Amino acid sequence: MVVSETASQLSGAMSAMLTNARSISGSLKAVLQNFDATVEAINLWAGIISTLQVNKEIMRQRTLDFGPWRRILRGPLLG
Amino acid sequence: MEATGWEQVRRGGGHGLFSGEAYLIEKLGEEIGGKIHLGRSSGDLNSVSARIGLREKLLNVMEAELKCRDAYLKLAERHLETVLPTYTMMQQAQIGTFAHYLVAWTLPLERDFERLLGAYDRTNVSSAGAGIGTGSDFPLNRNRTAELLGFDAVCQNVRDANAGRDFVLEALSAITILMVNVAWATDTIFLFVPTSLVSSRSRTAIAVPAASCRKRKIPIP
Repeated sequence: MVVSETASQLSGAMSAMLTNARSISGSLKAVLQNFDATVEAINLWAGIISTLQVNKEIMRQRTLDFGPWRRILRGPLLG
Repeated sequence: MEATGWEQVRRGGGHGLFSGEAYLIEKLGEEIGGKIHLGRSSGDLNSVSARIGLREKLLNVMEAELKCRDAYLKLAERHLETVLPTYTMMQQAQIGTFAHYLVAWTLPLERDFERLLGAYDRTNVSSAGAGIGTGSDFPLNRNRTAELLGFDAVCQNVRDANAGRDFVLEALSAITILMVNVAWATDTIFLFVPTSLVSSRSRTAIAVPAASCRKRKIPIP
């Protein structure tokens, strides 16, 4: 959620900059804070990916469950 | 001034950008203190500080971004043959590998890095000596100033140097695109969690905000 929230926040910051693009003397601090938020969100996400537990057996089982079902459907759908 | 604290002294001076000058004139007299802004107008201070601040932030983002790419690729190496059902419109569609997902998330980040690098190149250009857009009568060596401030080049046109702001927009758009790309991966992993395809070692790492309280996060096992 931190990543999604940061993406939304950045879209808002872009809109604000586009509205008054050349006047940054008073708003530079706020603009730069967006970069800090981005670093924080990416570091958090990289940490999640680094420690992610991938349940290979569940993935394999879901694939096996899904495979035959797809073949059964193929006939009626394409038939 | 240093003992009291730079920011506090400048705030107390009440002269905005020129508070440092006002303070030094008060303490050292006009002859010495009055020279602090020689060849450095408020326009210089604004544009140079923006570029110095932004280039540091861009480097921080690029470093974090590289760590994220590294995490994707290390995980992909371990799952080249880990099969899973792939999803489209939240429905199982076909069969793929987990590594294929991870590499798909890595490639946009490579393009993001190029965008960030481009933004950095155009940010790390010195506007010092541009004044308020018409340069200075003082014989300033803009190349030497740029070198001392750690810039790679000098802005070619002083009016552009003073008032051009596209480098900020470019950097902001680069990180916006970057976060949209990262959010693509988070959305997919978020879909995998409740179906038990993946889980987190941290009980609070993957969580959603509670409906009634934005600050409260509900961990997903």
